[in-house]
Amino acid sequence: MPLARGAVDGDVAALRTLLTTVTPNILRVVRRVIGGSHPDVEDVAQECAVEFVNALKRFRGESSIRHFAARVALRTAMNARRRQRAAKRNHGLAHELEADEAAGEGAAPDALVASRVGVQLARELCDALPAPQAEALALHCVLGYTMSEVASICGAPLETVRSRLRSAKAALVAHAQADPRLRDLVEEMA
Amino acid sequence: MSQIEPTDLLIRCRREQLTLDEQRRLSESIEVSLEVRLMSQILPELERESRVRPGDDVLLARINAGALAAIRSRASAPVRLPIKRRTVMLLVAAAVLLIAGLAGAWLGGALPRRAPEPASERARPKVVDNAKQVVKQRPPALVAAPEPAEPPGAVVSLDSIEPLPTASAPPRAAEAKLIGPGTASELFTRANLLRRQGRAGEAAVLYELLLDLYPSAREVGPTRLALAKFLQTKQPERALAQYRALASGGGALRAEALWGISEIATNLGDRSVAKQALGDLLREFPDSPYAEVARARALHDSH
Repeated sequence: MPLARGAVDGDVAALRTLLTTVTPNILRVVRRVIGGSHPDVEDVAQECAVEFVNALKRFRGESSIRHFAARVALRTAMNARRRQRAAKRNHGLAHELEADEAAGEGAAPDALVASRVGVQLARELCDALPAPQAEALALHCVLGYTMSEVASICGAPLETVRSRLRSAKAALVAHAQADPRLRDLVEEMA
Repeated sequence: MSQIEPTDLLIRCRREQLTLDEQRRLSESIEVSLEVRLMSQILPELERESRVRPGDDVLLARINAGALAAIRSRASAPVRLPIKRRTVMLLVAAAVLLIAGLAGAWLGGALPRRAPEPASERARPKVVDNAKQVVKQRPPALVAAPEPAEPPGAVVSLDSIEPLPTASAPPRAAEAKLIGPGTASELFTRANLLRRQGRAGEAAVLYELLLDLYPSAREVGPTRLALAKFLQTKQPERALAQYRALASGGGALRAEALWGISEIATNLGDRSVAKQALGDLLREFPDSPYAEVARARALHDSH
């Protein structure tokens, strides 16, 4: 909190220290949201860092600074991802994007296909769901925060988060059941 | 006591926080719930995608430097007219020029020519673009300078320097002059640009020059880090010296420095130094992205 206050008050040393503290988290968030091998990882992470500094004025210390940074980074990275998808769609490249995402890093052994498709579905749902559900889904399923952590990060009651996640996870399951690439996984469960 | 959600159990399982009973419950959930099964596939994959990679320390230093440059450049940017008002003014100016051109052509008896097409794209006021401009292309002071921003002599001089300069080479005033006006920030930015262009040897010269000329500049930390990474494979002893200097300065880059020391010491076969650095890293930066790898390595070394 003193660091954040110092950074807001224009203390450059505090700002540098703060940035150095949170950028590893920001980078991790960006990689999870847009993909670890995405060529824009650095640019988006930088955009997130700038947004984090801009948002510091709103930081009240209700969550940890890392959680605050993660939330700002998540929103910024999700916006960047939506922008990129829209741009690619406008240029008729949506199928290439999906192929990129499904391919991931290097050649995918069969065992990894289902997990990569699952990741792709989760990311697509985060683009499509209403903002509160998308944020809850991304924090829980993509960034790996527990429900109580999600509630703390969002500043929402636990029951609200639970309800948002219930709807979002139901949508995820429905998408998985409709995806032919996950047929084996779905049939195993039947 | 409220029942923990299975997906929460899964997340806590990834953090190795489950009791035996909870593990059993989670296994049952994975068997019967598609939602939990899906998440059990998704989370490890995302962990793989976001794991720490070689070069992340330099990447992070670049992100920080870029963000700081973007924030600084925006803070010092002149107040601009609102976009709508600016656009209207530009359109009015274009119309005036067009009318003046047509009038001139008519008065001169020439056939009216087509006016040049206005630029199709307006400059986008995008934060990252600004930052990129500062970090990847030119230092702030050089942005407004006409091309070539780099004095031609500097390129020739730098190209003739060996990729791996000697550490003891003292900074020469002439060399500093050739490189340009050279504040620490400009040197750092230009060195980063060279490195990105694949001219790592030249970048290393500038990094060393920065350390010599501005030993107390705020760019010293990231500079030591970048230089150490460059030297790491070819001149590990010199890289080690940079990492040690960085570590002794404390601050948030100490984690990167300790990681670098452990890497080099491992490669040089100095296990005690490597172990010490990893121990310090784990103790002082338990949440660092290196900590997970450091823990695994420390565990491996203990067996």
